[in-house]
Amino acid sequence: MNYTEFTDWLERIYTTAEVEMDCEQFQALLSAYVDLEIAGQGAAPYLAQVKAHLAQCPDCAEEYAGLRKVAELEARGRLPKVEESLKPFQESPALEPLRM
Amino acid sequence: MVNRSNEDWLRALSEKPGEAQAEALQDLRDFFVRAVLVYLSLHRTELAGWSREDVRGLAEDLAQEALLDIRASLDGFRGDSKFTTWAYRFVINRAASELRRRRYQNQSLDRLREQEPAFFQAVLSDQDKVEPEQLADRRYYLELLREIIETELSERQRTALIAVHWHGRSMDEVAEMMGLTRNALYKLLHDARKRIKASLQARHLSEGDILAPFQE
Repeated sequence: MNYTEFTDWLERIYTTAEVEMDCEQFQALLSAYVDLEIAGQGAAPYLAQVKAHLAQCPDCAEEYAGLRKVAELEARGRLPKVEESLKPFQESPALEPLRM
Repeated sequence: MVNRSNEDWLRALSEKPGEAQAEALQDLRDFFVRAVLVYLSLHRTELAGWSREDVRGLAEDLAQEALLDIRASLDGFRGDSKFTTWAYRFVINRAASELRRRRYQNQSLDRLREQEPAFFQAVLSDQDKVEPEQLADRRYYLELLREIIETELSERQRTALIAVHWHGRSMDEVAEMMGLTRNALYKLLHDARKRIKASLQARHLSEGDILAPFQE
């Protein structure tokens, strides 16, 4: 743990609230929250609790970021086609011809 | 892109097996593959060496699993979001879990605990230019934190804290190793954080007090 990680950790401790939204509560709200954010209505009543949960739970934060990206692309009609998404990956090796 | 209202999706997916349901399932499967590929692209450094066919295969497998999840969970859709946003959550969660599983396989909790004494050492590195008094303050606070963690947390809280906060392991991975759900692990960690915070506040120590000697 370096200095930056230490200060981040200490912040996690000091920003701990007496009552926090847990993962189940967060997951139940996630899709509605993402849609509100994309619609520019992110200041929902539970915004502070959502943000607090995201700061404390790396797994929920990772899933939120992924869902947000996908839902945003879909809302803009720009969810990439399969072949487009596969482009950054290396081409599959050509199959060796079968030798009889 | 197929345009269906939430009601259209629910109606088609809930129908008896037939053409309408098969078409909706196929559309949803296609969306899932495209959605999961976006997610995998965001994490492509973790898939170094994977061919396009490998990635496509993984995406199709995850989409299929998520489709089964959705069919078992349709009753849980409350209609407070777009149906597709709600549905994508299942496939994104599947993909995230799969990448975490690959990221951390073969890491035991015992192994993580072995590294525990070294935790705060790195914070104290590179102190050539630090005055002895400042260095003493740094050591004092780090020792205090270590002592609080050692003496005021339960064994399970300590294990969870070390694995998730110190070693950056995923919640799902640690939860599985500890025989917990992610939610139960979150609550365990929340209690641990509250305990540490209360202990520091009982000593009238603010975040700024502790960080002050670490400022250059």
